[in-house]
Amino acid sequence: MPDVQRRDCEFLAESLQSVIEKMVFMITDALDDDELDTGAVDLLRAEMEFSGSRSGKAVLAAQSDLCAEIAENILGIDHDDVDQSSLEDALREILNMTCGQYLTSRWGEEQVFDLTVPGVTTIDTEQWTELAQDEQSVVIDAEGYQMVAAVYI
Amino acid sequence: MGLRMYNILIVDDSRTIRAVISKTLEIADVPTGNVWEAGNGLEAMEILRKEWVDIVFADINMPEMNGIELVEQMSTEGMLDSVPVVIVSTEGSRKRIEELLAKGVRAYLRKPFAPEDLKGVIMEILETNHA
Repeated sequence: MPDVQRRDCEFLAESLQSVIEKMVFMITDALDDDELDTGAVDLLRAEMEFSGSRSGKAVLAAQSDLCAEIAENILGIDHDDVDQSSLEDALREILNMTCGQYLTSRWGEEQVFDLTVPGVTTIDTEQWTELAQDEQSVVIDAEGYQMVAAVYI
Repeated sequence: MGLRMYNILIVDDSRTIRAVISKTLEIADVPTGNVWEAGNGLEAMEILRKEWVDIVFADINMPEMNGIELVEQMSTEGMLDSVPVVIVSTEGSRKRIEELLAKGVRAYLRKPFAPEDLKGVIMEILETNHA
């Protein structure tokens, strides 16, 4: 992997970990690609675009169970009370914060970016694995759950 | 004399972010009285016209009335122009943040933030206001 791409991945992983630790109070760890849970099911994928001095898109995928854990943590509700919109809102906001943090830390405070509202879809295990195998993606563990993030510029 | 309690209004179209701010207020041990939530600027104005609010936390991008329009509307309504507004957003551009401050926003808190960041902003503003 070229140094620039490796650096991008480091910024992205640090941004995602910072968001999860500061806002959701979960402990995180960056994983190697071969540590991916290739049997993961019930997956959600959020995607948003950014434009400015650099343009591209940011993607974040996670197991629904992690989104539920995040929603439970943040909203202070029981597992049974977590509905689909709460799961999606949680993932959407994690991506929004991660993308904002990544752009500022990677390109500096002098740059101006416009971000779109993230959209959320479901994905299957194959799409999850493909995303994780992408050279621009990072895999993060959050207390036993996994997330995959990528930025394409 | 009892501890001064502060009334807080949180304005964000995301229920998740409203909950994050609310929870962070608790963790940071901010002495809060009432904490109201609104999904956009219009809902926030309804609360502000009825209730005493010490500080407003608002997102920028919201439907109906965004955070900047909320600040502008507050500046036209008597005593509301003195209620401090803190913008909470992912915006990281120094230029955009300076523009927000020039429009009357009292402080800016960039997401993600730690509880001590939130508490620092609140205490600085409220201690200045009540000095």
